[in-house]
Amino acid sequence: MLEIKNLIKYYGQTKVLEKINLNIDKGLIVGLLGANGAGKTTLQNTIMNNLEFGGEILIDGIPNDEFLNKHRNKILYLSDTPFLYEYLTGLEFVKFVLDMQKIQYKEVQQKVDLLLKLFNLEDFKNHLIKEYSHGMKHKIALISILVQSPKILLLDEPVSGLDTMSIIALKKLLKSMANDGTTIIFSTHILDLVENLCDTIIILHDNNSTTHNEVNKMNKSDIEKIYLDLVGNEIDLILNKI
Amino acid sequence: MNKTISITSIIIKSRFKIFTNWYFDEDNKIAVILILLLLLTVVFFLNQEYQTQQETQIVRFLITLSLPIFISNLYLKSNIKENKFLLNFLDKNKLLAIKKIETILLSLIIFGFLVISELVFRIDTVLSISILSLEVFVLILISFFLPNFIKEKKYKTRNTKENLLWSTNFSNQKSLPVRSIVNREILFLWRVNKNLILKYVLNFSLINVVFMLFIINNNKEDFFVWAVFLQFIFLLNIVLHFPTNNNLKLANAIPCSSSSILKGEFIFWSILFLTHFLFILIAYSFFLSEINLLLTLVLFFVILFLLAYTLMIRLTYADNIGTRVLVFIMLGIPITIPFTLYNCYKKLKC
Repeated sequence: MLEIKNLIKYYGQTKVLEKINLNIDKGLIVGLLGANGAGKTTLQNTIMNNLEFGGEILIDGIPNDEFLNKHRNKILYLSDTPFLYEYLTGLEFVKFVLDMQKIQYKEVQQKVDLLLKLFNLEDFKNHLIKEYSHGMKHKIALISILVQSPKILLLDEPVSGLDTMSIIALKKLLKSMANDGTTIIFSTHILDLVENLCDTIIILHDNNSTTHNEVNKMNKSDIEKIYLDLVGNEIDLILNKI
Repeated sequence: MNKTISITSIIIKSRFKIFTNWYFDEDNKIAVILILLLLLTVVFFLNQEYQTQQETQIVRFLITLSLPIFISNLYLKSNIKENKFLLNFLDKNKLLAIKKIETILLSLIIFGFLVISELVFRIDTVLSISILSLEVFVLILISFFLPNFIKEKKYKTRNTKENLLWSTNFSNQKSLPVRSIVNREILFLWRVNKNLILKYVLNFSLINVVFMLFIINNNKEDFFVWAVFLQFIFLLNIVLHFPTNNNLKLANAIPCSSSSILKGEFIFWSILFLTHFLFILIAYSFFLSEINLLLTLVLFFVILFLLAYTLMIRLTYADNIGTRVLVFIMLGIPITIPFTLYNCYKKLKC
């Protein structure tokens, strides 16, 4: 489904990713972990072809730029600070995104209504986005993405600013999307989210990546141990000194 | 093509929605009232008759002109984040095509506005306005070609030229190639400040149109030299305010690099000044006498000296903009020049 071969990415002189090799199957939920600046967002942006990179990214055997040219609406990406038109209402924004994707609003109206209800935004759908809180803004951006049926969904810290109920709802929704064949790759710092949701985790460290499959069989402390072993386990040492 | 047009119509539809939502938003009531008042004032001034017919024409012309400049400036601020967002739905070529269509539409609106103004407010300088309309049209068009062109090339330039510049191991180097400074300034100017540049181009065009009208209508050819001088003072002010972070970085990394930095910066800004000067000469040459052209040429060399002086101040006081401006203003008291020069020499010498 998604194949990454020898991916290299530099920002000026700074090396961010070096020889990343990944193979991600259809319908998997993949958690991207790593310290700040490890390259999680960069990796997602290279898949979206928003950045120049070295190496190869193949989607269904086709280079990502070609795939995106043919089926742009099949790969969706949501940034951790999504762009929103402040002077559109929540519903108008969702309709705008649907228009851009050539999806008739009427065809998905029921789904939009349900998502608004699910994320507790039903009463605010006709309010201007500028009146929304940080979490509400994130939710409306999520709805505009989740209402579609992508092949690959890339989410950058998707639960940032969300309330507990919305996190639970999002987790269930992502699982059901994955069951329908969508491959989901999301970056996060929250291990709880990874434990309950992911099939695979990719840990970015020292410009490299380590993949762990069958994460659903692990508990949180196993994941924590793997993470600390790779990213650095000096926390206890420093804490003891403090 | 059909797809591009339909997407453009979706974007334009959303723009109108954003505008109407903004207009009817309670929080913007005061802003809306202010804008209406401003429009009324504009109409009032457009209807006013002044002492001479020329004055009336100039005021009308200026007011009519300010709106397209204002709209163009607003439009140029169309941000990168929105482009990135739109790239979720479109490839770069389609986005570029949409921007071109939007630009053409905006230009047509501006052009239409100018034509209506000519008819309603009886502005006689039809030729000037037509030239200006064309200018606005071309400028907006360029403004959208350039950022997209740069965006395409951005990573390549970043990886090649800037890498070449920064990959040099500064600590082991005794001197810095002057050319790299020029390259860096060009890169920096394009990458970080392209919208600002276009804004300056628009504003300088406006200033020149005003000067030209003044010279033609009042038959005061001598004013040309002052017109050039004033523009270059504005330009020197830009140089003074231009970010200096890179200079500081370089000066700290390589001992004795200030002379290279100064040379590189001088070459870069001279090229810019010279280009600007040539444009002015071409624009004004049709109605200027040889003596004034000659005088301007002499003036240009004086300006180059002032540029070198400004750059020296810029490098010496790189970490403090307040001091830079203050020292520059002190230029008005000529006796301070030797002291400033001595101080700069002391601080910059190796």
